[in-house]
Amino acid sequence: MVRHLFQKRVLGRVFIYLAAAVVILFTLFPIFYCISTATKTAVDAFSIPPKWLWIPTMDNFVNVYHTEGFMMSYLNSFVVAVMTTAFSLAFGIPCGYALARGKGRGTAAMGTYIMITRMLPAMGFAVPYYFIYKKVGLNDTYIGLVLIYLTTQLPFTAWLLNGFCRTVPTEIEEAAMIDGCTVFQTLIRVIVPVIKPGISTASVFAFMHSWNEYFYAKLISGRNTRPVSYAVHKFVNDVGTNWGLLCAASCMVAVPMIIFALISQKSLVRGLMAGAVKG
Amino acid sequence: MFQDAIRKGKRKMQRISNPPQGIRSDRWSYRLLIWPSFFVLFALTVVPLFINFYLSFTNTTITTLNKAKFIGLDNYIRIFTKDKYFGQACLVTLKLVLGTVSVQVFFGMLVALLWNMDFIGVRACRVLHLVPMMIMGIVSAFIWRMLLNTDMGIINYLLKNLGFSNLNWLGDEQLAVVSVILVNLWGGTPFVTIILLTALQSVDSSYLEAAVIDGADKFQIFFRVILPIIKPTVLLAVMFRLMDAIRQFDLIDSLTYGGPGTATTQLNLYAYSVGFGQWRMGYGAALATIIMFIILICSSILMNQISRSNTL
Amino acid sequence: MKKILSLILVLVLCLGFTAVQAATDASALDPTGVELNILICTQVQNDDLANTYLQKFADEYGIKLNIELAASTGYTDMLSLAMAEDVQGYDLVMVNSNHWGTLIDAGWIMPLDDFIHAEAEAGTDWYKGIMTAALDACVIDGQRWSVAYSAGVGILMYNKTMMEEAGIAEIPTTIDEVLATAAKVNDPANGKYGLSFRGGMERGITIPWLVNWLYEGGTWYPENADNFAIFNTDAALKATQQLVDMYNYAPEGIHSYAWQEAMTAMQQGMAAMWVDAATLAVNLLDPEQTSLYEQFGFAALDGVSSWGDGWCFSIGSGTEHPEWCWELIKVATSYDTALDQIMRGTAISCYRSDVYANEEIYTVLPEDLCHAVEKSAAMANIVYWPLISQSVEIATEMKNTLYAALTGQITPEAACEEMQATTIDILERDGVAYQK
Repeated sequence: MVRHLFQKRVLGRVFIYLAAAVVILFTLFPIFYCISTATKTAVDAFSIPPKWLWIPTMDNFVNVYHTEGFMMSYLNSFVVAVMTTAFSLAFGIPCGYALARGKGRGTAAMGTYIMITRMLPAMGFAVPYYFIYKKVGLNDTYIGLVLIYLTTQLPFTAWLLNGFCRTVPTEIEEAAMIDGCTVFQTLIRVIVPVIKPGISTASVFAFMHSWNEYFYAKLISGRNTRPVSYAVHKFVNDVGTNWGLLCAASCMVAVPMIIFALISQKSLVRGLMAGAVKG
Repeated sequence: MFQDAIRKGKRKMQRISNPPQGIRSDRWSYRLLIWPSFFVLFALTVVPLFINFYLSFTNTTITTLNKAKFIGLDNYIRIFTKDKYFGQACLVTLKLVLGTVSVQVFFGMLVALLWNMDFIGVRACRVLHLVPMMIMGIVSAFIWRMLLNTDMGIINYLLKNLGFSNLNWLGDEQLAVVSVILVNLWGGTPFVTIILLTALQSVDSSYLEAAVIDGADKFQIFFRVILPIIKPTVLLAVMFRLMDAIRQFDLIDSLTYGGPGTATTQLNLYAYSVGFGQWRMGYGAALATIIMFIILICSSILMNQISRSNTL
Repeated sequence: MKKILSLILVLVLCLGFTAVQAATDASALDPTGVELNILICTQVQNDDLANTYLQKFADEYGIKLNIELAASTGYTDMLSLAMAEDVQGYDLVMVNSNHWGTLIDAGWIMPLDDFIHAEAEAGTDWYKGIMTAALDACVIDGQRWSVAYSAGVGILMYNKTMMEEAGIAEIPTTIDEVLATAAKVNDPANGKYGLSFRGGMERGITIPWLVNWLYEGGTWYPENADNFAIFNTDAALKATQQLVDMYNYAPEGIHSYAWQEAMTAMQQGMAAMWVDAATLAVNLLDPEQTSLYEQFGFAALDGVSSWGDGWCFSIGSGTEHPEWCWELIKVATSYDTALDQIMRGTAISCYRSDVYANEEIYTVLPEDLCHAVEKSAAMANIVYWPLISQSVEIATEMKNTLYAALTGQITPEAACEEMQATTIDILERDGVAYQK
């Protein structure tokens, strides 16, 4: 409905297309630059005036693929990201629902604490975690990484789903309760299907943040669990930063993320396009 | 007038956040739902928090981990009296956080309104707009460092060809702050857009129809109907971006390393350079604690706002 | 029968003889259950060393190596955390001047004097061919803590074409001459600048200052003056004045340059001269990176000591197998490894005079580069930060003060006074013994 209000005149339409073009140009130009550097040889990459047309080469991608440990780190990142997403959702969905509906200071206080943990500077955690993990033996494991990622991801997921849960009209829940469902059953049977777009949004974010996390990754991960964000960083060294390899690696790192986002985007968009939540 | 529409909308929001009697009596069950998350996070964070707090009262360095001395409030006193970089870092943090968040929310709102319209390719636009969010902080910093290079970057090249003069993006103290805000605008707006877009699409069209019938123009509709209804979501987006802006490290570190001199050294970066770079862990822990307090204050103000707007 | 027996005796004696000489060799050590953790900073030369030469050695002698190739960003954090007292995670580590302060202060690496003495007494080829600068990479209180591996010594890299076009006939040999030459070549209107160097990124301001200061004879451990608080010396003042002058001949964005941008400026033909680590020359000679790869010349500058960079090896003090670590260090810095790496193109310099005596390397490397490195390496002073854990803090304070001087907020004299005062503050605060 909102859209119809702003689309009266032809001039308006032209303006809209122009604005959209500007936004997309600004959004994609650096990406285009990254891809172009990845497919250029180093000589071309920085030539002034810049080369707009060039013969693309896949050498950089091939070299990245053959770089030792790079494909392994893909697997590491994938495992950690999936685990983090799973845990975030498993804990975050009930938590978000409770924050949305639960009244009472206990719930609110716990919610506040959960939110605050996300805001704490990573620096304050890194060193204590490093030594604790060394003592406990968790420092080169997947679960160790997942636990520390959860400190930032779980609050985020919980509060995001809190927002989504609030938009669900209470009539549906009331109906379920009248039919004899407990709160938990209401959650599983009624709320979860309704906020599916919210869940897919939250899972996209959880996966993405975990995939791109670098600060904790470099300190806590060991030889066997190096995630791909760390592997990309290895292309920046103190003697020769190979921009082409770096950009190629960045492209390869971003691709699974984009695919995952596209897949969940479909259900997300479908959920949104299915219409607003009518009152 | 369309005041009716607004009132209806607010009442609906009120009902959502103040559930009727039947559900309220299940307070215990809701607590049960939130306890697992709370316990997990509590267990994961309370020990490091205490360690951090304890460290802030000592003069620990990495070489004296087991032989640190307890020095009471010395670190804190030093921060507020003798530390010439602390004040500068606070100022820079203020500039960067305010600039980043306001710019992101403003443009995020505009773009969300744009994506909410119906035109050919809008769905592709929505998806494409998400891409910057998926790029790692360090990678986007490196890409922008290449783009913004004063002498060899493409942006200056284009500016020169259009007749403008060279801009020393990363080498000038004021422009470095602008550059950080610009890169954050590129990378962080998609998040705001997606949140706000979802909220916009959940606004019931009946209120808007009523407003149109009542003769309201576009701006009135936006400011008096839409905005109040989606205010909680906007505040939520502001809070998320605020938290990320205060905690931001990787991107600023790789883009400007704290800026020419200390022009973009915000509190987080400063605490890191002291606690990790110089390994003065006690002092760094004190700085981290101060950062936490600042965040606590800001967030409680914001959370107050959010809960208040939820119970109109 | 007797002939055969005597033959066998002679054979056994010969073997025994060689066995005696190999007493200082790896074959004398017991390889059972030896597992070494090694931390190496990833780059082409180091990766090649780890995967080809160290691995070959390990396979030959039957020991197990866990080599970690770590990214260079955040390397210092990783290293410090990993070598901390309770952890001592690595047996052999790659270090440079940024790390010695913390590692030595805390006692996390061991002195190597005994090993070096053994080699000196045995008169091995390894010892005879390696430059003293490599063994004396890090000397404090008469103890040696590291052996230098990659020779990133400071040399002058210049663009021959740009120099010719500006009518420069003689290559400068001191920093002052470099500045004078830069003034002549500098032509901003045509996009040509005299100098390229590290600017503001990552404490980069301090590097050119250190280069200048070392060439003027500066040292953190002066003979007749206090250690570390050296900013009241002529060398420090001269270095600051030279640094301020350098910024007149540099590209506009110099304040935000890290070594990558500095190098790109050279590769694009924007800047004529660059004084920096020789290991970076590999990027200037690579046809895949720059179209000007044939235009670069190299020379060593005169001076009491030149800036040296590059990676060195140290042995962790908690290791159970220091002898095996020492053997690995010898492999890394041996004649065969160094020559092989140069011939195969994975290294561009080394710290061995016997390699430089071998003229075969001129088929792979330009002659002037080899001469420049050889001359610079002989007088390299790699201790460009003080060997105390406060060195990082001193460096940060230097960076901020120098930035103020560069933007004209304070004079060079005031900058030196400020750096001196701040450094003494830090030393006093932490109770560091620096006064003589």
